[in-house]
Amino acid sequence: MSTLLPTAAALVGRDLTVTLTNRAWVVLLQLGAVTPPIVSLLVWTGAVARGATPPVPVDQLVTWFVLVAMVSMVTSSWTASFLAEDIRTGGLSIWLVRPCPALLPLLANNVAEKAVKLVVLLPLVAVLALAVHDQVHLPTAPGVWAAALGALACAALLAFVLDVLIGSLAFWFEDVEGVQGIVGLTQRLLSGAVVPLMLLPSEVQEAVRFQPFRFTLAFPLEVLTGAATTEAADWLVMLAWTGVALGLLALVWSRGVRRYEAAGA
Amino acid sequence: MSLRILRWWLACWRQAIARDLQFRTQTVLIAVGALVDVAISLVPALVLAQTARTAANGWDESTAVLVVGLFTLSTALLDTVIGPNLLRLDSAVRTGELDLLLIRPIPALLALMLRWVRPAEATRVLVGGALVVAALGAADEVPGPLDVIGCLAMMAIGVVAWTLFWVNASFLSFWWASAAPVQDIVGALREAGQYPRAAFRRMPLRGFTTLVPALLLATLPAQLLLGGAPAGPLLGGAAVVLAGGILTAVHWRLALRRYDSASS
Repeated sequence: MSTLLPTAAALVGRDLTVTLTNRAWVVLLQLGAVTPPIVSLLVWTGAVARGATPPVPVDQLVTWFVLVAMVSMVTSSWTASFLAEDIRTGGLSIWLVRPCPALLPLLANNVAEKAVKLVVLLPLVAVLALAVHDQVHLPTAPGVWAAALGALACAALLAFVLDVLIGSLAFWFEDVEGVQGIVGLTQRLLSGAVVPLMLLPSEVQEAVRFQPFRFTLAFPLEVLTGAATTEAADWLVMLAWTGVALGLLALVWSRGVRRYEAAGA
Repeated sequence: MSLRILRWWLACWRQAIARDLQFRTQTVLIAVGALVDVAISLVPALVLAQTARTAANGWDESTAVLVVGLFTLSTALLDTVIGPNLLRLDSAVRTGELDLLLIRPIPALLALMLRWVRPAEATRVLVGGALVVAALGAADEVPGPLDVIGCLAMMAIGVVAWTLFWVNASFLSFWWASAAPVQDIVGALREAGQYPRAAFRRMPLRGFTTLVPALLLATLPAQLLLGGAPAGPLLGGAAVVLAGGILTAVHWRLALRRYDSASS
């Protein structure tokens, strides 16, 4: 346990260095992250100018599109395919024999890459916010920011654990790409990445309110933009999903490692 | 020469179909994923149409579905033929694999754009066609033959214009060591093409019909199919293709000069 923090710090440092060597890649990646919300912003503001009447205030919608790239990056996870490959090729073995949790390098990679991406993404989002500053309304109350940070941390953890769970399927299946693709598409729709959930008809909103993907993107944004659907029940369900996902991961991982047959095992 | 190119391309198709038949599960998954993708792309268009149906220009759900249907047809063609090649370009430049195309006895740029084919993506053509028919049926519109010809001509221009834009964006791989994320940017910009013209103000409209010609893929073809005047969009689109063609030819020469290849 005493070596855990130094090991984690060393792994984060290593991944920071690797990420910083691919600076152009990171910049292009973040440009790719802000492009979809910019297109949505152009479409929605154009439609509103032509008389469209969205079910939420326009300012709230604009604030959503300005912040969505940032929240999406903070809560994103790209671990599943790397973990699946490590399980398939035996690369996981070197982490199973080391005196630290085998998932620690994946977590360190997630944290380090996000730190670099954040530095690049912040100015891009700031420029976007400046361009539509009349319609961007960020919360002023410290309590709202604290709540948003809490929701963001929980969302990032939930997204990471769900991603690791998908990657862990490689203990049982040779190829998890298909599952990953289907879950990815479902997540895009149900998390609010394709269209803000607050724009859906009210009965659809109610139907998708408590599903886990909403808490990986839409919920922290709803807290930040002051949407109405952030009641105590939402917080409880988010915590419950995170707890269930962590419990499931512990179970799947212990069973999976027992089943693991790497080269040389 | 053109017959030789045609024979070569038919051989590429035969090989691609044989490969798809060999990896059947993967092919089915790609086809299912493509269909789900179409379903997902309908959601924002329909949500927007619902809130904007009282707006000017008679914009309603059927127009939104028509544009998504035409967009699906155009992008199915792009993702079947052009996409598999441009998505590999970054790695081909980095590893020197491009050498294998440059030494073949066919125009290298053509080989670069058409070598790989992904037939499973073409399943979206059926969905796109069904969406167009359903949208026209819901709107109680029967387009005349000239409207259909104008729409098809505009779509062809749009596909060529977008291909040229995509090729030039992908050529950034010659200038940057790892330009793969450019494909995400191109993909996100293309999404603008699935909305009706009424969703855009003047400046974005100009940008998305000239510099980033996403609206030529489906938005303007839909306008022509619904009886819009064809001369302006067709001439404008042809000018965009001409400018894009010249830019691509110059960019290709410059990029080749910069290319180091695997053996140099």
